Amino acid sequence: MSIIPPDLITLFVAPLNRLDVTYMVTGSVASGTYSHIRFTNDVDLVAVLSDVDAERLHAAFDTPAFYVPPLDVINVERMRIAHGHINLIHVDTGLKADIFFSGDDRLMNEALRMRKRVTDQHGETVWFAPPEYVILSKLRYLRDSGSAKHITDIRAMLRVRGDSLDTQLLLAEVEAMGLQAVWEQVRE
Amino acid sequence: MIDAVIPPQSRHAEAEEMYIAIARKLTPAQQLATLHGLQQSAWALKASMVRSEHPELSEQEVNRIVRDSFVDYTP
Repeated sequence: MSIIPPDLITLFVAPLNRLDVTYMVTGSVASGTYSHIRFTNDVDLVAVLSDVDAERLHAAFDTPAFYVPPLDVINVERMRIAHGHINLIHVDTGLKADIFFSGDDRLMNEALRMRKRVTDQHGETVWFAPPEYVILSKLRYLRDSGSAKHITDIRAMLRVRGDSLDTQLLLAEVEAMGLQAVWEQVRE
Repeated sequence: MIDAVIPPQSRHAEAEEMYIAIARKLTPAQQLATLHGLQQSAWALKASMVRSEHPELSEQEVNRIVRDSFVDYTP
């Protein structure tokens, strides 16, 4: 009998659905699903948590199977104006979720409003950040970190998504966010 | 909004240490099983996305697109 190994969606996304938390998948899992798949052992999520959500999330993951930060840390992070962030880790596999809290981040909040629903093979809902947001977010990380993996991911998305992208929105945000230099870099 | 109760440079140190400790304890068999799970999941998720965006495609066409997205990875 084969045992199906756990995956990022089952471990981290399905519980958020059960808790009715507002979230979206972004980062490499999203760019891979939209374009070319790149293996990663973590899923990046953007979420909004109320007081009650924070308690329920902590309780849901506070088991020997997971590492979850203490509730007071979750509360501090979710209340940050920007860059609020926690990790969840699955002990048996080392798979990880990076949960970023949207705070006052305009881009994240816009993307949450336009998130895209996909139903996976198990009937589980998975909310994805819109592809334009995934690109903009990666441009921002590229500017801040210089990591080449973002260039690869963005180029793959531009190549695969092509005409289906809202180019007008993308270019307007590139300018508004001061990302022209990194945009030119990925377009080379 | 709370801005800096926990200093940014130390707030994730515990999680990082925990992650390194967990990763070091994984056996090769566990790592292989995890990779297998990631591959299966990535395939299924990509197929779900393609189906949702292109309901007109046959399963054969969906599978071809997904397969290409694995093999056509050009860094």
